[in-house]
Order: sequence, then C-alpha cells, then structure tokens
Amino acid sequence: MSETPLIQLENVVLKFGEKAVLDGINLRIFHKDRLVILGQSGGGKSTMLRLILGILKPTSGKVRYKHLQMHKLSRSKLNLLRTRIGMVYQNSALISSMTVRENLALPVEELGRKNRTEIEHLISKNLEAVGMEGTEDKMPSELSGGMKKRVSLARALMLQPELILFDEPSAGLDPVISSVIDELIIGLTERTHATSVIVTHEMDSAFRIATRLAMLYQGRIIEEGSPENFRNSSNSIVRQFVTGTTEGPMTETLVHADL
Amino acid sequence: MFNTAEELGDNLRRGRMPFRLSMLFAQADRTGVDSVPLVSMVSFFLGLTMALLTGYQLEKFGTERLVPTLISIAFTRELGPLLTGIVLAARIGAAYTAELGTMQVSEEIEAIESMGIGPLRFLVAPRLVAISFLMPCLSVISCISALIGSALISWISFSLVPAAYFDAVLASLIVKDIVIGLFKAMFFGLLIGLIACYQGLTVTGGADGVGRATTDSVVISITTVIGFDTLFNLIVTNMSP
Repeated sequence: MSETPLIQLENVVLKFGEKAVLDGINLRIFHKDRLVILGQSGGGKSTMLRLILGILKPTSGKVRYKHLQMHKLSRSKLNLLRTRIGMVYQNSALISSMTVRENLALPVEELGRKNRTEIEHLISKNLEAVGMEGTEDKMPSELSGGMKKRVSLARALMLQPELILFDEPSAGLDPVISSVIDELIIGLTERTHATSVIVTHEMDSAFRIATRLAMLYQGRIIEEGSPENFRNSSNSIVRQFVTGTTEGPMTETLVHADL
Repeated sequence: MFNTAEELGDNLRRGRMPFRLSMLFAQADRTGVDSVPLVSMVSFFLGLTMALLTGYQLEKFGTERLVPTLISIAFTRELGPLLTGIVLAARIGAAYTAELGTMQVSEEIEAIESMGIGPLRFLVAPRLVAISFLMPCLSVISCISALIGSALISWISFSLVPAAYFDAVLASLIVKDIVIGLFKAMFFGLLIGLIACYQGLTVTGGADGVGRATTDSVVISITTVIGFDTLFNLIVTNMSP
C-alpha cells in the first residue's frame, strides 16, 4: 500500500479576479520530505504556502492535510490543525511590540497547554537550537535580518509542528548567513522529524536543502523530482532557471508579455 | 464579522476568557490613564469658555447664577461623553487602526492566525473592552474638569464663589442625566473601538494603506459618534423629555 501524503494538492486553481495565479496544481508532500518549491518571483509560490495553511481557499480543487480537506474545516478545527504547522515568513513577521521571549511564548500560552516553567524551558531549548540564546529580552527591532529569521524559526518550533513552511528563508541575507539558515533548516527538520516545504528562487539554497524539488511556472508544476533530476533536466525552462542564463524560454515569454 | 463571531463562540465554548488579561491591562493603561491629561485639559478649557460666554449673556438679564446648572447638565448628559468620544477617536482610535494596520501589512496578523490563535482574543477584544469601560471613567473626568474650569471663570468674572457654584451644581444634577451620560460614553467607546479595529484589520497596501485607514478611522468614528449622539438625544427626549 502506498504511503498517505501529509499534504496533497489536487487540481488546485486559485484566481484573483480573472487572473489565475495557480492553474491546476497537483502536488503531494510526504512525511519527512524537504520539498523545495522553485519558481519566478511573483509566480505564486508563497500563495501555495498560504493555501496549505488554509489562509487562502482555492477557487477549485482540493487541498488535503492527511485525509482532511482544509477548506471544508470549521474555524476551530482549522485553528487546531494550524497548531501542527509552523510557518517562517519571508520578513519573519515577529510581533514588533513584543520581546523575543513573548513572541515565542505566545502560541503556547494562548493554547494553554503548558505551565510557565515548561514554557520557559521550551523557549530556552528552541532559542538554543537556533543559536539565539541570550536574546530573550530583546525586541525584534534590535535584531538583524538573519537573527529575526532564526527567532522566527524558533517560534515556529514552539508547538513542535509536524510540518514547517518556509517562505524565502534566505531572502535578503548574505551568503554566509544564508548558509547558516540552510544548515539550521536541515538540522532541525532532521532532529525533529518534521516535514518541510521551502519556497525559494535561490538555487544554491535549494540544492543544499532539498530532498525533492518542484518547479512552478505559469501557475503549474512543470517538473518534480530529486535534486539530481533537476540538475540533469531536459526541460528547457528548468534548465534556464537552474543555470540562471538570460537566454531561453522564460526570458522570451517575458519579452512577449512586455510587448 | 463572521470569523470574529465564530472565534468568540469558540473561545466561550472552550471556557476561555474572550480576551487576554495582560493585553487588557496594557490597553487600559494607554487608553484610560494616558488619556487623562488631554481629556482634562480640553474639558477644562471648554467648560471655562462656555461659562464665560453664557455668563456674559445671562448677566444682561441678571441670571448669571444659572451658569453652574447649565454647565453641569450640558456636560453630564451631553458634552462630557461627546467631547471624550471625539478626543478618544482622534487619540486612541487612530492609534488602534495604525497599530493593527501596520501589523496587517507586515504579516504579523497572518502569523498570529497561522499559529491557530486568531486575532480576536489577543488583539481586538482587549482594545474593545478597554475603550468601552474606560470611556465612562474619562467622561466623568471630563465633567469634573469642565466644572472646575467654569467654577474658576465664574469666580473671577461673575463673583460666584466656588462653594456657591458647587452647591448649585449638586442641586441641579439628577441621576437620570448621569446614567444617560455614562451609558452614552460606554456606547461611544464601543463604536470607536469597533470602527478602529475593523479599519486596522482590513488595511490593504503598504504605508499608504495604513495612512488612509487611520484617517478613515478618525473621520468615521467622529461622524458616527456625533450621529449616534443626535439619534440618541432625539429618542430619549421624545420618550422622556
């Protein structure tokens, strides 16, 4: 019997007005996958993460979490399900009026699952895991971009999620910090046995992190497979994206769109 | 609106307080305590000016002793809640909208939702409870400040000593006026809070969107407060003049 996917997108179409951002997406994400979704800027990658979180509802098609259909769940059940998913936002999205400690404590306190001592222990453990111990009393404005990303990752780990979504984790960071974040993603997802979905358009990061890759182009998944398959892909669009050359079908489409 | 009602129902079903207590105290502090100087000052000067202008007119007929009655009734029933409402719409309503709007555009609200929390208990309810319950308190402070201002000018300009002034105030105050004033203040507080939070949570765009929503929040709040005040007066005056 084949393994049940943790997340399954079936013929997902998402339209904003007349524009179809996602146009018939089929994708399965299995336990312990580190799936990297590649694609052009503004191509709908982050939108896919919001569909998986149930923040957006598909115009048609289904988004399943195990056997549950996300957009058919009541708000309370959806909230319960979201506690199993951690999300690391592109701009970190830490609550700016709260200290690092308060940011991390928030989800656990609100769900009322642990006492104060357990919460403090969890905060220390997760901050240590991302190399940010000693920053508990700092405000987000006192942290650099890379530090914010790491705190955001620590916050995502607070509820011990089985799925972690990363929206452009290395965007705006220098190559060294970017590599540190990549290593953190690999190390933490392996240690916690979490499944992760990473959205990026940075190829170095993608190949370093991924156990599986999927390429989104014009609202569809045009290729899916191992990093090795991607490196040797015969698809000209994938090849152009991976090598980052200016000549190829992607640039031609852009020129035609401009005309 | 539907999501908010659903989240409130969910919290109550799970036996949780519909607002986070620590957030309520923080909001109460800035909404109530921090607004005292502004509300007192504006009311003091308005009371003073009103007493001065009406006193000069009444003096022509030798009836300037009616100033305390006029000021006390006007402020307890009408101007106290209205003035406090306008001050809070500008000071607190704008702050609520700007804060929530900025959180919305920087994805903080979405991050809260993605954790399975929902913004109601954490962000909206503490603000609504704080402004609704502190508006009546601030309205009382407004009335007292206005009476002090008017007592002062009555003493200086019309030789009405403060003891006589406040005796006249106490004689003219009736429970019905005070209750109506306090009820109106609470209702205005709720209106300002609802408008400000709604405007903040529905911001689209960047800094421009936050700016527009903040302006809208203040304009809509002040207009709504004055509109409801007029409606309220029409109903109450017709039912029980």
